[in-house]
Amino acid sequence: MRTALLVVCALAAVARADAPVPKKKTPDKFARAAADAFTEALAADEKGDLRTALGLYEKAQAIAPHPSTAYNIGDVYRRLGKPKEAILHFEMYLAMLPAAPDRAYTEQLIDKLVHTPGTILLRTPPKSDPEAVSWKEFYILVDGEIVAKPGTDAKVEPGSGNEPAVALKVGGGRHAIDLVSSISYAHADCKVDPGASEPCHVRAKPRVDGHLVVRSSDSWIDVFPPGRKDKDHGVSQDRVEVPAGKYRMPVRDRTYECASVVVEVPGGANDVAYLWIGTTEYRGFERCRVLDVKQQKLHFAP
Amino acid sequence: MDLVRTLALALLVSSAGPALAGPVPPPTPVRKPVPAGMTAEVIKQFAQAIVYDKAGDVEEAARAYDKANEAAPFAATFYNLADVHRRMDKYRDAIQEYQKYLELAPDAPDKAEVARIIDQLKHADFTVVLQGKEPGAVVFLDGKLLGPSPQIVKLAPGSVHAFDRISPTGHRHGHYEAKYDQFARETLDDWSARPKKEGEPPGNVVLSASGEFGTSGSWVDKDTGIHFEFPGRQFLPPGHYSTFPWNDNRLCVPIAFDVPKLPPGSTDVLYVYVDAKAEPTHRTCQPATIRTQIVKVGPL
Repeated sequence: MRTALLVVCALAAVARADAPVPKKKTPDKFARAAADAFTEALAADEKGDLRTALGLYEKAQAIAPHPSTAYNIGDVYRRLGKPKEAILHFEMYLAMLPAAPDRAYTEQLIDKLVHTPGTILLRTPPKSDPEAVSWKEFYILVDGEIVAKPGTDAKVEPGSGNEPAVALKVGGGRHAIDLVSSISYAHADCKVDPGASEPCHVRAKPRVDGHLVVRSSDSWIDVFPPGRKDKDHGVSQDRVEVPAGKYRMPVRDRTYECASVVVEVPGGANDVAYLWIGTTEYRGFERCRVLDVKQQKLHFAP
Repeated sequence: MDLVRTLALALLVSSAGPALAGPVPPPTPVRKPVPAGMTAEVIKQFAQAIVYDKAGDVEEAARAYDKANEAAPFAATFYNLADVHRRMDKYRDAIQEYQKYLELAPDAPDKAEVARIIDQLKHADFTVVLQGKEPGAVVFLDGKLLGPSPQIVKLAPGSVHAFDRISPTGHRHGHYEAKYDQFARETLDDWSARPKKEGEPPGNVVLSASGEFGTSGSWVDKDTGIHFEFPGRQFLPPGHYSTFPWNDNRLCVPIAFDVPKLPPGSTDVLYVYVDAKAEPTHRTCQPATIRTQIVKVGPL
């Protein structure tokens, strides 16, 4: 691809030569210095010395920015296993060369990198801490979806050192993690970049009662179970006691009314209703944002 | 009447000249590429903004364009920032940034197109959120049922409208003149001015009227002695009703309607809408059309 880019640049230069424009002057000192660094970077790149190549490409880019340099930096980052930086430089390439002949290919490459899963390593304090999580007792949910049922245990994972962790493969970005056991509840927001591995620490109070867990993707979204009418008493990230039954629960996003949700709260001692309300929209919209509502019934063995 | 805006905030409708009213451009991104002459550091912020924008984080995208502009202002950066703000519904910011783009790039080949976008944003339809507190409510705009609360409506600049929100427990009516706020909300919580007595049902009939009619109050019909609340919600036994508001000639036709016999426990409501095109005067009556419909409100 790098060779192809150089060829494209050469062809572009030929095409420009046909046009009636003044002759180009000798490259200035910056273009010359950048070209020297680029050539040296290319040699290091060909030899597989990616760290040296990266430094030299970045030097060339800092002296005189060029789309080919941005592309090659992205490509080195890709091969170094750093998708986030690779995405940035491939986007830079497209922004610098909007008519790039390999635009579609580069966009596919970016898309693939964006969707490279990251790993969240859930960790908890040792058992000397009363809020340490006993993993086997908990459902684990990511953004409202069950990813592990009770019985899952932590183990030593790549990248987690000697500390046991529960590894969750997720897309890059921020994720809402919920842990629900028959007697407790905990939540955390964990962020990971594409292809990266990030620890996320969770603690759970030993006892949190209730047959309903409400989890909003941000604390501005409130749900009003029966008996909670005032905005200050809405539930956004909590486990609460609600008598068994089917309810229409009002939902509020900041001070905006949203469509209410119908939730069936189970009566059994070993069942919990889980309600997820998420949004990816920007918080400044002057309306209730578009909400993603999911419900789960969590059953625990007696 | 209490919901009619009185705060003059005519910033977005004050410009003179021919206007292109109507919807703003669709919320799809339109971005300029990196212009010539940008340094590597500024290009990095510019590209970072695009990455954030494509990931859906428009706030961070706007911040990154701002940083790029702080380091070195470029027309393309202002254009892209305006594009982000347009999609964030921040029209005032977007207009300023599009204008800055034209200022920095006076010979831009798309200057006519950008001027058109500015004009559209200045004269965009108003967005109003119709909402309230009580769950299970339905919302009406100008006598037409829109659906369950909340509803978001687009209103042409300068137009006058009537809203009704009917909940299982009450009703709220409001007027709105679309000339003050580009984005507004009408919180139509149940009317609190006339609280119901303990155990009193919320009523099976709602009387309402167009925004142009704009008159409210109550009267006792001189023939039947029935007390009518206008606009309002009240209980009326099944039967035929016909009454002139305030027993005078404000309307050319009586408000006439039939209250049906509903099964016990029904939460249905008869909605009666007086569609008049102007406020009544003491001299001449106003022509009007009376429209009625049964509305389902309430339980799961």
